Amino acid sequence: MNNYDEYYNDISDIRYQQKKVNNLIIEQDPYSAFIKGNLFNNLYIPYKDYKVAQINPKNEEEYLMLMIQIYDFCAHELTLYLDVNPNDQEAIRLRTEYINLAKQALNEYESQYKALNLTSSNLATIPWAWDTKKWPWEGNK
Amino acid sequence: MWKYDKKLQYPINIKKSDPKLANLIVTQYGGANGELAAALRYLNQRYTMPDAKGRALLTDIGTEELGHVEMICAMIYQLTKNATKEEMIKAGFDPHYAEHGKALYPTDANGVPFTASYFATTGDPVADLAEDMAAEEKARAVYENLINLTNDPDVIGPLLFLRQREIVHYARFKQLYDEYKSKGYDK
Repeated sequence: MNNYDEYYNDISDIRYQQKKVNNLIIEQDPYSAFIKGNLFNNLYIPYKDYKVAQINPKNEEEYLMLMIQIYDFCAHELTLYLDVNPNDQEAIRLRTEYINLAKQALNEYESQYKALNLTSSNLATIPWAWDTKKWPWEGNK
Repeated sequence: MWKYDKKLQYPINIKKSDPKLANLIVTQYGGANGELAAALRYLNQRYTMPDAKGRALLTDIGTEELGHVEMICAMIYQLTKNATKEEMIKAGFDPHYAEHGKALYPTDANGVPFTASYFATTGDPVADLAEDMAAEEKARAVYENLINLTNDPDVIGPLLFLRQREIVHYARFKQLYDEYKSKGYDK
């Protein structure tokens, strides 16, 4: 996506003023946004000189799970932004992109591993597949 | 209104058993500035918000905070699940174990149980959002305190993420607070 400032360069309307006031700068790389916990570079405040943790998937399943978490996170950040800025077209467009990426990642995960949601069509098999032993709080250690 | 996905918002994978640290981190579960208080605060305030923005924002952030409750609980669970009797006693975790075993229970770092007194709702949207901004700053400060108390990177990673979420939430509440105040919703 293009830089906000370039897009609004020639528009001298109130939305441009607001964008300048809000000084919105979105992190382009979704993985970086996720590990920072912040999609908006202008809002990001590090703590002392701590570096954010890198996440290193050990296998295919962890990798696909991470992709879902990344895209869900970016879409969610835009949801919160849009809740108070409902007329931002670019944000709606970008959020829709992330939602679609998240759905793709979810489908890929569920087709190979297990249902992550009770509405999944993966739950038609016998026996009942939702009762997995491993729930998200277990971790991988 | 809730559905859930069987995943955490951010992964928690802790190798090292540390019940003493668990007893500190629990403050962000059942403490005054923790995630449960945050979730209940926002989910209670949302009904009387004057327009769509307040209702949506408080529901969406309140929901995210429930996810954070789960992350904190996952951290406590992983930090204690393999603790031996000796480790628990040395860590001062034995009173919790006596009452709850290794089960989760919402208290602060002093073992004081959660109470609804930790959050307020006034029905005045400006007052409620001011409370929310304060809550997010307090939560951020407590995450910084917790980060200062450990060297375990498996713990620091999630704490940094959760701290950053408070900063974003603060920015959203602040924008809405300014808008509601300029619209005179406190009159």
